[in-house]
Amino acid sequence: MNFIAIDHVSLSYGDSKVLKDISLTIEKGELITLLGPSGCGKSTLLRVLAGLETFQEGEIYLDGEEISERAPRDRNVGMVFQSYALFPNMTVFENIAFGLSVKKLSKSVIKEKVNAVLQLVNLEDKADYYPEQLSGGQQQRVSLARSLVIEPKVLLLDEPLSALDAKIRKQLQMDIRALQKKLGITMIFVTHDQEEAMILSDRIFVMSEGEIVQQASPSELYAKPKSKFVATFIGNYNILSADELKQLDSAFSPKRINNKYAIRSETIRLEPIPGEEAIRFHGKLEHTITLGSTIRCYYNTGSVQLTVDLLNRDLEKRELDQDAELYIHRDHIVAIEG
Amino acid sequence: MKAKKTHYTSYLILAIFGLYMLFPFVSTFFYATSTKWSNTMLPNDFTFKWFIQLIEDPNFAAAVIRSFALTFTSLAVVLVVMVPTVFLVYTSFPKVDQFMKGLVLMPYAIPGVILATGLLRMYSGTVIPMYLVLVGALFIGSLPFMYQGIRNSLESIQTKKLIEAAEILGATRLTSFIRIILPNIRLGLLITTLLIFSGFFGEFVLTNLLIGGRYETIRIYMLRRMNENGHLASSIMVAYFLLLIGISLVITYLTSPDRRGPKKSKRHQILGNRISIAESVSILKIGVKKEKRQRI
Repeated sequence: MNFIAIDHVSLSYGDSKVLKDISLTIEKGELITLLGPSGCGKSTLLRVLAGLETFQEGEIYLDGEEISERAPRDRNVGMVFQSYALFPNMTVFENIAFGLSVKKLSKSVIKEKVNAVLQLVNLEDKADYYPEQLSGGQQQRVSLARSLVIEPKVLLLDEPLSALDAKIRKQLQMDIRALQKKLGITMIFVTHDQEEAMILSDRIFVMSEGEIVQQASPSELYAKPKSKFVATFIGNYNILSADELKQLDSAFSPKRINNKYAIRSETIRLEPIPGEEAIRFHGKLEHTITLGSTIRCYYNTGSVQLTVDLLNRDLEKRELDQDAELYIHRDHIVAIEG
Repeated sequence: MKAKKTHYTSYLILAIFGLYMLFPFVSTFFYATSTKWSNTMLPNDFTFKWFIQLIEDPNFAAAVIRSFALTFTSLAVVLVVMVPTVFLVYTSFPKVDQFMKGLVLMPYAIPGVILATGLLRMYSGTVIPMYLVLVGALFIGSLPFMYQGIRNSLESIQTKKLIEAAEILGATRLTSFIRIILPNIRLGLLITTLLIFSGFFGEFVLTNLLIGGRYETIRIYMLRRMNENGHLASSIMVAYFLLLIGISLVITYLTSPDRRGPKKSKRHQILGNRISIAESVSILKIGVKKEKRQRI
């Protein structure tokens, strides 16, 4: 039996349907990500799991028990908020101890557990500080510790790193993943950042307009997006119609009329690709953007403009207005739903 | 080194504002400490005799006590009723909140005299004591400050998020309110309370019309003595101002952020007995292990 099962859950605010018949399952010890743009329903789904939103249809199961009707405090879930939601009147120690103290554990047990979790998030020396005296990254680690110390069955993280700067965000991504593996805890992470989702997740659930449009492992999702929405959201894909693709590959014959075709920008090469499945075509370099280790080049083939990501080297191959030979392997052309 | 810019205009505006605020108080003080001040720039003499006369008057002490009694009774009712009510409305009934924001402004629409007349017609001759009617009227009069004051305090601390966090951690709504919300709105609550305290303590129209001479508060006492002697009335005014300033200073001190730093106590100090990461993990997994054992 699945550790978490969300079964045909729907939620509406008046006439507006926020979650549309959502079903998903999660195994114990997995870290899954709900990924999608603002307003797609990912945070609402997380809040439904936490018991903070009331839904109209469906059921939720956690560790074999139905928890749909249970109050948040009876679900045994932990939650980390984007805004930290630390209690300003309490020190770091008291914040972390709060969940244990309301369960009326003895002082010695509370102290032992809080100290353990403080050590885990490297905040031993901040136990007596108030939240306002900590940096954003430290506050989020306190929030994480506060949720972990109650030993929840599942930890829900609602865009916990969005308010942090890039460097701290990357560090905390690593820390969260390491902690999750160390503790073996099930985590559900909400983010709109596809790179963050890729780094953290065992599986990613992409959401759009209240629906899960695709679920897959990060590598599978990146390589095989099912729709134009996923392709554009998850990576830097060139989306071509069947006619446009035929301009590049005369041997191409569309399987379905409605299909679109996605080509990842880094799969288009300037060097010949051996084998019969390679397509060769010409393009004129119109514009480049340096992204760091890669250069994003915009080639015009006459019928279509293609984005090509190249490693930041081989300067001679990137002169503007020069005609260049471009190559794609047919395996890298992914048919997607329009 | 960059020269520090002096904002002369700012200082000038501040000085004018300060003078504007202080001038009436200083003038009243001079009048309260003189026996004659009519056609000269400054008073002719300096004396504390009006203050001494005031302190020696048993009616003054009784009036102060009555004012405090009325103020604290009304404040207690307002706080006990309004704080939990605003909290509940704000957290659980957002639609009622919208309605309340308009409703609490209603006391502004009714002049004190009309309110008092209406209350007298309604309640005089009934079993309800007029003192209670007065407390009720003061309660209604404080609603605009109290409702908005508490509501702003709740909004400024992200109450809804804090409650959600507390509930997920296992707390009931009551526990969250007592242990998290109340301590965090303390400052806002104190400021609002002070505002209302000043209003209640100096309230005149309702008290005079509803109870009048039967319950002589400080303001009614002031009015009576003002007709006798202006210097004495000024000394009451100065004493009244000093009392309010004293209360403001105490509250400012109590709520000063400088009083809250990292705790010096060693009660949570854990550096001395560090534990390993593995131990941390094992401590946190206690629950998981127990659960596994039970299943076996």
